[in-house]
Amino acid sequence: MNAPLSVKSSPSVPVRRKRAVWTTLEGIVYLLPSLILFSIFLFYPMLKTVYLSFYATDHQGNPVQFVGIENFVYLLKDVNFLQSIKATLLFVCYTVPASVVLALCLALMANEKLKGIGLFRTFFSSTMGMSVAASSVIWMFMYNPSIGVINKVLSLFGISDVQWLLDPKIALISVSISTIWMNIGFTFLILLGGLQNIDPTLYESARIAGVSYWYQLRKVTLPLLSPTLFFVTTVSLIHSFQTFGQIDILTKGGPMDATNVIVYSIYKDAFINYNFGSASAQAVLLFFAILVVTFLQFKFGERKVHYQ
Amino acid sequence: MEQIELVHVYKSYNGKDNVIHDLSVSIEPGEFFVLVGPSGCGKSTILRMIAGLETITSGTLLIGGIEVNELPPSERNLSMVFQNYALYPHLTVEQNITFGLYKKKISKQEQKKRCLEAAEMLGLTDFLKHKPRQLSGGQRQRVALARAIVTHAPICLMDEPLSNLDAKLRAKMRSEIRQLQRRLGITMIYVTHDQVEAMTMADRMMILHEGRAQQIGAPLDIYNHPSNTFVASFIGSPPMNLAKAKVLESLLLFDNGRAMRLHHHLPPSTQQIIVGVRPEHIRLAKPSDDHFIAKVVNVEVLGTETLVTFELTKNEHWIARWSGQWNIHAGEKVPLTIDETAFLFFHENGQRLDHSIPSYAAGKGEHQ
Ligand SMILES: Nc1ncnc2c1ncn2[C@@H]1O[C@H](COP(=O)(O)OP(=O)(O)OP(=O)(O)O)[C@@H](O)[C@H]1O
Ligand SMILES: [Mg+2]
Repeated sequence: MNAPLSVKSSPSVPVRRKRAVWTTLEGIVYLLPSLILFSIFLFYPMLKTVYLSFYATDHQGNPVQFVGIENFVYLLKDVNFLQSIKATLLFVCYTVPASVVLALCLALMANEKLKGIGLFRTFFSSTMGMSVAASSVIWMFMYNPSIGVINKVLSLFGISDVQWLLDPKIALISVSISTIWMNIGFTFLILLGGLQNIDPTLYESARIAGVSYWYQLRKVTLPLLSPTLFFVTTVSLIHSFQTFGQIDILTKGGPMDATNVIVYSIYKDAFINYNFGSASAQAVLLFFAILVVTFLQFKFGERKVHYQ
Repeated sequence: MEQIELVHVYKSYNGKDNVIHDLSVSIEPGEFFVLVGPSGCGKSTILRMIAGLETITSGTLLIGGIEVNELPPSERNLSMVFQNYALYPHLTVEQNITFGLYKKKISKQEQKKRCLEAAEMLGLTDFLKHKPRQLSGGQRQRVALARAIVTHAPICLMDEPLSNLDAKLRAKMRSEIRQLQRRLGITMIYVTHDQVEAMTMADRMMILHEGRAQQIGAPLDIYNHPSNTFVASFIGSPPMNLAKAKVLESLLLFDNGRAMRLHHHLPPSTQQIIVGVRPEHIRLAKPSDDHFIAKVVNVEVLGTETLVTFELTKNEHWIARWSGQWNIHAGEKVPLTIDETAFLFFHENGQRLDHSIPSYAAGKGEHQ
């Protein structure tokens, strides 16, 4: 009596295996369109880059000779590349914390229930709607030493002739400032969304308890916003490592390589010096650098994040 | 323990339409006061005005005899339990419970002591180190209660605190909350849309409809003497049976020709009235009784009682509620009788007519 029943209730092993194969195949079919797109536009170029980084190339970018890790060894000894690393790291340090903190302040202000706050929300997030190229051109005019508005304002205070984009000491900072301005729209919008997602009764409960604004910020808002903050920081970090557009338009990596961040250096090596092997090697190094930083962030930063 | 008084309070969110109309009520110290009404009638709005989370458009709110319209919530010396509990998901149960003590400048030791006290009272001692998401609905509810208790505030406001719980747990928490309130002697204002909760918990209750107070009083008073048809049908389950009728001296004429003769003169002033009878007052007639015959359309046997739906007129169905289990089937015709004292009369506009049939304990015997 028992035996036939048990056979009936659970299919035999081959049948089950066959079914599993089917469901797997079905799953793959659903994934196929995005797999194909990813392969063409992402996986293939990536592998090709890794491949090229082990070769010396001709001017069309064809691999000529396998050189092993020669490209990498050369890069790590190259003063220019080390300068690029320094510029990139400085650029990241200038832009990421500043964008996130500024955007957080703006989001906190814009989250207050005040008359006409919608207008400010639009203003604060408007930079998101501008392309890097357009905003870079705007900043280029503003930084212009003779006709730029910044120097005109500064001259009212008796400061004159600041060479924003030509002075190697401040060019990177100038680029960073414009980058922060460009980043803030996106960061602000995401943080505001995060703030509005927080259950308002939690604040009402805090109002009845009568806690101060700072206590509430520290004990309620920031912990509950931490997943969003974490996301925004990670994205900004990756974004910042990959900055290209504003550098190309504002300084072209100059003056004296002060703003020659890695992505710009890759571009120069590949499309100006036609040294595709070295460019690929830099790209691979950048990829691993971002990977490590993001990994570290997840490992140490995420501990402080309270997912609900 | 403090008295709370609302005097001619109005509330409007958009400056045009009033959500609360001319509300005046006084809640006594130590009282368990329930606000009950259908969804959207303004219960939460009233509670939030008392808490100070919403401004009062016009009128006065007094707590302990002092006007507090402009006082911030934290200075009104009250605690509040929210419908969704409003627990901080990133804090442990203990931190959640003591969160409200921050402002009161209470020493860490005293905080710990109060927290343990409250946790003990509500059976939460084993969960103090847990996060809210690791708790069941009932346990979360208790954490919210504990958070209200530790503040030692003399007034506690609760907004539908049980609506997320299942029926059994709700019944249990109902009595727990009630006992707690008695033990601590807090003045409680409790919002619910559930009339059973209101009936079982309230010392006094207020029934609201579309922002207007319909009736304020003790549950049984309201049950027995509803001041209008809304209250009559809102309180009681199944609700009071209502039907339009014409009065002809001592005769009640329903639509479609059904008539009932009473032994007393009915409200003389109006012709058309609304008649109300509670389901438990409709009995199966004994042979000697005055009775009317009605067709049964539905029978629900609930174990301890039986609900019999019958046709009063073609398109008006009334429900009778008999204790015990009855073997009656739809389609049968049964003789029914209604105690005359059980009739309530309402004006066409819904207001109850102040016409109680004279208590006639003697008369009752006489014609049975
Ligand atoms: N913040 C608000 N802005 C505008 N109108 C509101 C607001 N809050 C409530 N209302 C309106 O006020 C009326 C009463 O709402 P309230 O929340 O007090 O109802 P309630 O009795 O608590 O209902 P429920 O039982 O569904 O919780 C509703 O018509 C609602 O649309
Ligand atoms: Mg409500």
